[in-house]
Amino acid sequence: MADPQLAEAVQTFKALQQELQANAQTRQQLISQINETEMVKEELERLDEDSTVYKQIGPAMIKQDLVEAQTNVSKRLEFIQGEMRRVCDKHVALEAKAKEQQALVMKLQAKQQQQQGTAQQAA
Amino acid sequence: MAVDSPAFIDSALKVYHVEVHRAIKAQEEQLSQLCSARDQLQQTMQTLAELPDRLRHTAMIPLGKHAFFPGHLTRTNEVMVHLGDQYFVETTAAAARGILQRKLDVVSTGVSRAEQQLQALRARLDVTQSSLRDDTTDGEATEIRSSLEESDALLASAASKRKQAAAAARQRQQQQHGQGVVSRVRTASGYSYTPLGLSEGQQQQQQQQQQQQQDPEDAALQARLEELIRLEEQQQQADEQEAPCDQQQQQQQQQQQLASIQEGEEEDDREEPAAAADSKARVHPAAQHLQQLEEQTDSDDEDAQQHGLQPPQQQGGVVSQVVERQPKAQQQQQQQQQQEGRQQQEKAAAAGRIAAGTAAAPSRPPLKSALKKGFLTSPSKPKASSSSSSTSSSSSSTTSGSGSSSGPQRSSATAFTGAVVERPVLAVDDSKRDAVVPAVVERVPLAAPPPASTSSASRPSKFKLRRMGLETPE
Repeated sequence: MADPQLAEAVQTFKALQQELQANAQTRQQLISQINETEMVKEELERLDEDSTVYKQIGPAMIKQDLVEAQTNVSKRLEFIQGEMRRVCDKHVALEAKAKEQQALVMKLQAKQQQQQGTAQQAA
Repeated sequence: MAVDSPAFIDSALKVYHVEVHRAIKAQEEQLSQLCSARDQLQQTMQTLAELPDRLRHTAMIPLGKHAFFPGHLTRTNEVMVHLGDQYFVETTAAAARGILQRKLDVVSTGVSRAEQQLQALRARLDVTQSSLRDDTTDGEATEIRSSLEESDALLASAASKRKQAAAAARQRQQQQHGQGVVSRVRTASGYSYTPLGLSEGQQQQQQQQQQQQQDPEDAALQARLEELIRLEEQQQQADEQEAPCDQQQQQQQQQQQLASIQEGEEEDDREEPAAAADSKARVHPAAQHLQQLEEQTDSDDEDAQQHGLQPPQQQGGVVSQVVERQPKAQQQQQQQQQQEGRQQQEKAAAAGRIAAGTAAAPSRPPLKSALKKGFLTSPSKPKASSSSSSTSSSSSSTTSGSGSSSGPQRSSATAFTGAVVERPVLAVDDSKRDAVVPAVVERVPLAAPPPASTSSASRPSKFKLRRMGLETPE
């Protein structure tokens, strides 16, 4: 009787785990993007004012203003940082849910074991 | 399948083993990527250095995949550098070198970090493998499986041996340092206190009586114990002489001097009234030490267990995880502390805190992994007299890893009856120690960001790593 319940709980738990993993992956990607963008921002700030900056759009390189490039990069960095914050919050929420689910699964497992024990004793 | 059954443990270990293998492969891949990136950067920088030397270079210019044509490289000082994230900048060769150098720094830190993590993983693998081997080769899996009576008998015999050793050691000290000392003689009925104003003849008689009461085996054991005690003392002195830090040397020398002065005078005073306060006094400095340690290191799940183990590591060579040695060691250290008060501890803690800031944190994970397995490797004591001083000090401070970092960490001696699990199976030989020791820096707070070329797909999932006790760099 507890079996379908237990199976369901286990399924939801597994799903949560997978979501957590995907979340972790996106988080890693975001981290690497943040690092790269920070590096670019730093390099752009080191450049002289009269340096020529190009941005690669597809196969072509388009000349860009240094100041414009700097602002673009800063905005991009802020955007990625916001994404990162969102992903972190989601991660925390998912973790809490996963813990709950795990507790539930263990409770059901224990109950099932008890039932099996009593059934064996009766038999 | 019960959680405790050896079959379950075995299968769990095997799964863990496979997991560690996978993590190692992923880490190796990442490391090779980083290394190739670093090599490319270095090559490019080399080329950039040579490029502006000439106004024009003649070269074979590639045309597609399979063809070249002869040409010239002109305008050798103008290069376009990729900054990352689809941005390029036109600049001089020298400036380009600067940009590449900064990139190279980032990649190098990534490489070293990846290498350290790989070593930690490899150490983990070693530990898992050895535990697997033990489980399969040992007939009795673990000695915990013995019957209750057997284990009781073992405990009783160990306790009695300990008492004998302590009594023998005390008697030896008393004989060395003479009068006014109360001797706690172990008789058949327990302990009896007799003034040591007794003539030496009587003392010898008592000793002989003692020895007669014991079996010849026990006598041999006692002799061996005394040998070991002497060996350890020699080691202590050897360790203290070769200790790298000056402060510790001073402290230890002071302690030694104080010990030699005090032993004769105050041992009796300490013994009786301190018998009751023994445990308290012992616990108090240990507790204070623990507090200091806790302030130093970050909070963590298994802090309590680890702190229980760290003080023994951090003693200046006095680390006696030999169970029989503890009473004597504790007495000595107790006296020293009561003499010098807290000042030395604080000094040492302050000194050790700086070093321990980095070293304490890293020393935890190997412990953590060892604890998770539920065993500690205590080096077999006779083998403790190994060649190099650093390894000998690390062997006396035991537990997997964290050996080399304990050098700068040694604060003033704190007696501590930590949870000492003696498991004679895993003798940590030198090769393993060397493999394990450098792998210490797992938990160093990673200021440098991972390089941009990290592909998240090739790294093990963050949660797997966390389960294995590794921290992912973020």
